[in-house]
Amino acid sequence: MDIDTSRRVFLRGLAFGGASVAGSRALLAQPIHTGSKIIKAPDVYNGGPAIIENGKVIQPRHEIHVLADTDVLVVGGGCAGVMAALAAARAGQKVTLVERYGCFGGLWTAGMVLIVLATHVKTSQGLTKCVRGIGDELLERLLKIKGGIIDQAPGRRNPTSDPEATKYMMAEMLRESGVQILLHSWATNAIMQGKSVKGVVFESKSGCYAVTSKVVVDATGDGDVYAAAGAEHVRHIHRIGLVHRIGNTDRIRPVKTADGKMPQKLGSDTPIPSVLWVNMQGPQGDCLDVKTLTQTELDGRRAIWRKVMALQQKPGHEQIFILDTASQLGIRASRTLKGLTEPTYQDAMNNKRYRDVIGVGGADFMGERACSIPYGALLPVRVDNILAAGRCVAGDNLMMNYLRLIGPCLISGQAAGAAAALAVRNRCRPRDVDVAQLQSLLRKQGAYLG
Amino acid sequence: MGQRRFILKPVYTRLLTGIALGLVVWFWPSAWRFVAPALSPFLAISSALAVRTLSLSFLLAVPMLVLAIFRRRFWCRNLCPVGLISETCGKVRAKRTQSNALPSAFPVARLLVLLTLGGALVGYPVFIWMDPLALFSGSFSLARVLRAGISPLSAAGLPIVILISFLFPGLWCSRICPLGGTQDLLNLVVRGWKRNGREGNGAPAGTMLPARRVLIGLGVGVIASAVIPKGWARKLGRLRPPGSVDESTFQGTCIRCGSCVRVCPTGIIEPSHDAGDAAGYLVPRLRFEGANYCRQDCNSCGQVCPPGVIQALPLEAKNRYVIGTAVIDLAACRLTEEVECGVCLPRCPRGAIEEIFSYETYTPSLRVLSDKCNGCGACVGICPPKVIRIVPADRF
Repeated sequence: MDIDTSRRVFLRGLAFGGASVAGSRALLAQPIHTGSKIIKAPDVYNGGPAIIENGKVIQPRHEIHVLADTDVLVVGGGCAGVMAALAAARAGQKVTLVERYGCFGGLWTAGMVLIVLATHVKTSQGLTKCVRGIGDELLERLLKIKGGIIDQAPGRRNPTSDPEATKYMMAEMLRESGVQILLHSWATNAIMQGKSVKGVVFESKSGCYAVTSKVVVDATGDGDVYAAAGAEHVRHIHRIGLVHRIGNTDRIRPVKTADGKMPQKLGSDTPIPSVLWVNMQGPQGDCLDVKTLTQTELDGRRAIWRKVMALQQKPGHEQIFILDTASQLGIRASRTLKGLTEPTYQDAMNNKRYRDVIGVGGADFMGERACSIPYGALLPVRVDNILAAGRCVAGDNLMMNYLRLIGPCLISGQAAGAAAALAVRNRCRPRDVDVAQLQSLLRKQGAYLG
Repeated sequence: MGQRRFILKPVYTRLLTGIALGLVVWFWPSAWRFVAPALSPFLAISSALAVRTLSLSFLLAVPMLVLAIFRRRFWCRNLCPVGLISETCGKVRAKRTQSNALPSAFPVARLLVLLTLGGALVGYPVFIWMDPLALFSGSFSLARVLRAGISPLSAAGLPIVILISFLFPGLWCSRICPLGGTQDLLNLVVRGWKRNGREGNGAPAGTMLPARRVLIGLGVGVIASAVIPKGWARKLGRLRPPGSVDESTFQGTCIRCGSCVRVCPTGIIEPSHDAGDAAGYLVPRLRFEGANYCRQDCNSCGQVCPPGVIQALPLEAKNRYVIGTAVIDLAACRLTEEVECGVCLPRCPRGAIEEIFSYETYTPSLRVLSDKCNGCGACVGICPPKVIRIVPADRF
């Protein structure tokens, strides 16, 4: 049976090889059962099996099927990727957004980082809203959904959203803007022509496929595409957590502790009244190492269960339960780009204002001070036709701790999308995009540039 | 003709001095602020005695020392910037009142010098801060002191001298100024004692100096300095600039010239101005705020300290010098509360903060590596809940 199958695959591989040499794109069809009927369906093709050559596993060299050709290809459907796709599509370009999970939001939803941090910056003049434009539009639309978001109101900052509402609303907005969506696809490689990125290769249930594009936005969070394209970057070790939510918290009977104090709150409020969100810092590790990820996932989940089971033994806490744990580990930092401009903590403390500012923000470790995010932080030094967005943009070891938060990811995402659209429209490299034109487009899209 | 020349000569000298000093300031702006105090033999002798180190900057005082021995008060009449100011003020006043008579006060200056030298022997030169060049230099701190919101009193030495000069013309230079007193004493040591021995009690007051009085002055200085201020110094733990000598000598020998305050590129050195800190009033201490900390590429404060109480250490040694040790209040640390933070780790220029993870509780915690931490204070300003402080090294 096994031998039989492999021989068949091999023969089909040979046949396909011949077919592609002949210029044919047709995939071989296989019988597929739909209820009682048997129909023909395209086969999954990966260029044939890998082989062992001199004791080494070798991937066969093969042509990759081009699934789509687009103007702006956004890789990663996290908050930065969604913002980039929306900004580019609304600027009139043909956009394809490819996401590895079945939902949008990335760490926000799958990773359940529900608190939208750094939406505002506190300065001596008071609280300033710095996430405006498309990011704020998303938050405002979540407000219209029952149980969509809390603390999204004037004078409040860092709202907490519901992950399901966020997944739904992101998809709705993308579909309204006419973005071509491809889910369940994992970016594996960049397509290069010289030092220009021409597209990205994905792995999926349909096998390996390519999307070619005029400009690529790397919103993978880990900078997977720019790293594959050979862009210079910095690797980071950071804490890897696993967050969870606990339910029935409204049924906790508060029992005073021995010293007469009320017990500490178990987590922070969520849009669901009986549910609390619990953060986890976790151990430090290399987020690009699959063994580390595996271990952290296993350890983290065990830690959560042990903690909650211990909690259930406490008087008054019998009814609480684990509602869910995140399906994506809390990756804080893995790669940051070596950008044309590297925003640094010292620059922020010196109140440096960049000429190519694309957004304004700030975090509490900078004091009561707004910092500006430069366009140069999204651009690789050497590689062309690719823009970074989200937590993998350029920034020093300290600024990275601000730039990785959702607020700045919304800002850099929208800016990357707008810049990509302008590069396509003006037929230029992203680094040659006219900064004034980009800033004017961002302002038109509602962004706040200080 | 001779009369005329006698009147005009000091005017010319003063004019020329003014031009010369102006040129120095023009080409070497920091000269005033850092070099001027180093010219004072009073400072040089007392601080060298107190710190028991001879710093290179004392060489600057040697020509002044020689000058003082052979040309008594030449410095005061022709070179001293405070003398110039004081005399000018006195003249304005004298013209108005025509009463130039000096109150026949005891020459306090010599007593001050003796007490200071006595104190210096036990590491606490009591009145060293009254040196006119230190007061003059200190007045340059005004702009920075105002900007930092510190009481302008710390730069008020020169204005007080000016006030004295207005009220009692000539009093400061001839009777109070310890630098003047030093010159008188030096002059007496070389010439006067011999004459005094020959002429007995016939010498006019001010030109003689009985050895008994010298001994009493020095003795009182030794005893007072050894007993009183050290008790005060012990009470308050202060962060001192890197390279500072032991606390008591530091407080006693610091001339409050403000050179370190002005040279610090990050502005973390401020003159102490607490009401309860009389002994250490205006002595520099460190304050960490925002992005400001003791930079690891800087050792400027030690290079400009005239009495050398902030030792001039090479960069390596300065970075090894322990200002204090960071202490993190872990109960209030954000990581303990599982809140996004940990910015102190990448901030530390010496990698002295370590993250430790407990698999037991599955929570991270921070630890300061005391063998790496030198108390530079980088972590203090960046900590969002402000739960890191630097505990001063014990240098009593």
